[in-house]
Amino acid sequence: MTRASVVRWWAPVWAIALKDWARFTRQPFLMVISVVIPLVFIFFYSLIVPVSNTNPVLVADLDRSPAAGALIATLREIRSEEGAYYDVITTDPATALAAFDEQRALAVVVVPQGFGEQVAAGHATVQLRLSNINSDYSKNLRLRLDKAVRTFNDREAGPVMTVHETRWLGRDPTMLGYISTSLLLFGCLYAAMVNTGLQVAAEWNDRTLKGLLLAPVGRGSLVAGKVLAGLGQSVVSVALVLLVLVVGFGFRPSGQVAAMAGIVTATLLMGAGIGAAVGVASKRTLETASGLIALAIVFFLVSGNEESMRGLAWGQPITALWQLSRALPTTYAFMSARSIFLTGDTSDLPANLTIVVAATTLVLGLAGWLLRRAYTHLTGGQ
Amino acid sequence: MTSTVPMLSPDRIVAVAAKCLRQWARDRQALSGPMLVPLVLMMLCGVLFGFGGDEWNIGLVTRGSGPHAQAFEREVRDLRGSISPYFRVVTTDPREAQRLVEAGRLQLVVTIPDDFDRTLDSGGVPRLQTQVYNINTDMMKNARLRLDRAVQDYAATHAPSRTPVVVTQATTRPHDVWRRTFIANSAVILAIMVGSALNAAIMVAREWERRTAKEVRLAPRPVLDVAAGTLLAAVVAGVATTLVTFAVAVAVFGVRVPLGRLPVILSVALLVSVACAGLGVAVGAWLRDFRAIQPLLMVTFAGSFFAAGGFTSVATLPRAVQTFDRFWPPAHVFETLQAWTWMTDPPSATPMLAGSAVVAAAAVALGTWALGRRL
Repeated sequence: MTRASVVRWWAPVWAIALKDWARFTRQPFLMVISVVIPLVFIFFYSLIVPVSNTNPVLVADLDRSPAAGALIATLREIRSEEGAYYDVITTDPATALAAFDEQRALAVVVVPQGFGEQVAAGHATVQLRLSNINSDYSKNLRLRLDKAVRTFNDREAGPVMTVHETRWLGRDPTMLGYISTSLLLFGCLYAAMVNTGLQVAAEWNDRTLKGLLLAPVGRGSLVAGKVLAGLGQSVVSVALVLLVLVVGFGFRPSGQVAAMAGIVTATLLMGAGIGAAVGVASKRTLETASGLIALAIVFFLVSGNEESMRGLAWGQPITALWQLSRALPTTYAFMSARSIFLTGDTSDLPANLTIVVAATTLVLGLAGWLLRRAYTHLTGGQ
Repeated sequence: MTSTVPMLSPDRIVAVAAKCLRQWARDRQALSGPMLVPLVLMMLCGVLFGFGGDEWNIGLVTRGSGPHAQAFEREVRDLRGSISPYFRVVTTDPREAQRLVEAGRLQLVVTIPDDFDRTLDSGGVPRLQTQVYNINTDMMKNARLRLDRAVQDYAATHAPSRTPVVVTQATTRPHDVWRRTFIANSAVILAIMVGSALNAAIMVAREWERRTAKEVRLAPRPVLDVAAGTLLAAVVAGVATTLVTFAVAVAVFGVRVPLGRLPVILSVALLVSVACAGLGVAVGAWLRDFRAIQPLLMVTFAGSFFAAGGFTSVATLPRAVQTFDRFWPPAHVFETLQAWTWMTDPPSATPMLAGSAVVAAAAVALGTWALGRRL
């Protein structure tokens, strides 16, 4: 391919992208929505990430003895590698019991009167009162309290047994890092899918397709121009997502910059391909937008949790969901990103990256074929 | 002299509502789009985060053959939470267990050593061996804390002298509400909000998207009747969205609403639906573009599901999030409706009913004003 022919091919691609970006920037609110919306989801979702580790709890210390103080100190002290298991909001019995009785709190740990003497005598109890409207919360509070009591008992009377742990990774990756990686990939997929899909569908929706087709350029240039336009819009969005994750949430990716940029680019291209395929298949902005938003959330939840699901998938319907995640090419992008950004474990990385690159090529090819076909077979209404 | 005060015309309101509903029913995408977010969240979060109850899959290798080792193995196998066993032993074969944990198919393998009984009998402290696939702190918390509980319960039974403190538990309900059921009910509550808001916004924006706004403008005194008719249609469409979501929640996830509480629940739901429809009319009139409306409403409501009491109650969220949720209206909707569905003695619904009525009135006024300005 000569330089002149490259320029000849590239010029209309660039022109279509410029045209779409100009139209995009002339609709400021649409522009803001397009860039900011992934951040909205990321903001809301990130709010619940600490829940997996730290549970707020009220303690009604009716005893006020040194033993009760030691137990409460243990409640505050037990922790994972991410942080404390409990956030003790109050130990004042009146405040704690009133909050529970008035349903402002779903649980209270009651350290009864005489607790200190009972500990000295070797048979004390501590009570967990629960408004058990969510089994997960009940389980989390109970298991944490068991852990605190076990730790307290070990100190008072000596351990019954110890545990020696062999780990896959030296340190547990934090949920913040795990979810941040997923949220970054969600940002890539959402932005590329929705922006490209809407750019494609908008030509039919706004009845501007005929004008586009009258341009003396090949169909391949139109396809490439649309993908480039969608990707250009997405880059701003993804940069903002990364900035918020790093500055706002303290996400510290640990991989090589080139590898990180590579997986982000591949995911953007895959998202652009999916968006273009859906956009051309529907040709309507209404269903393109709602379908792609729902699909982005599906990818985030299903593909983004494959490693967690893998250990849980020993019955139905979770096994079916896990198998679905294994069948989705986006899953391998999430797994590759996790290897690169978080764990540093590269044992499956070459295979995962191969799947990502192959799937991206396939989906871009499919989108290109669908677009060429749609551009060639116009309906009468256009 | 005739009055210049605009009057609502029931005929015109019904005509507008019928027109909007006919377009909605004919448009497969408009019909199904608002159901997507609640159904997707219900199906995925319900299965992913709560279908299997409290059960955690492990490998359990018992190398010791003495009575203490057997007793501890029984403790692990029989350990139960409030709704289900805490562990499900997938394999007891050491090689298979190692293979599975190295591949991430198990996150915990516990090995009871062959000197377990000997160590205990000699007054020593035996050491359990575990191997973990520590993909993140959440998975590991679930695995390790369950094992801690097994040790605690074993100690309480077999070494009471080393267990000066035990935990007792008292609950307000006889049985825990499964997490999958809680999540499914939240998806129904989400459907009330997103169904009304998104349908209203799409119905209004359709006039611009389909280039029929001019005809509406040419109608005599269109604003109040169009606003009221659209609101009515949006609430009806929202009810349809909610009923479909509710049917799935009942059939698949076991949601059961106490019949005696239906009047309160339906009153709150109706007011919330009207408020969201009013908001949707305002958003539709303001943006007039499906491309802007759908991401804004779908993603904001989906995000609220997670952060405002849909995924887990507000009281269980970090303090800063609880403060945020005090000012975020969907949080009050999730909290009130979940409390009235599940709690034995829910808090008074009067503040929520009064607040919802005020917000509904304000949202309807806002929607009418925004539509009037645009028309």
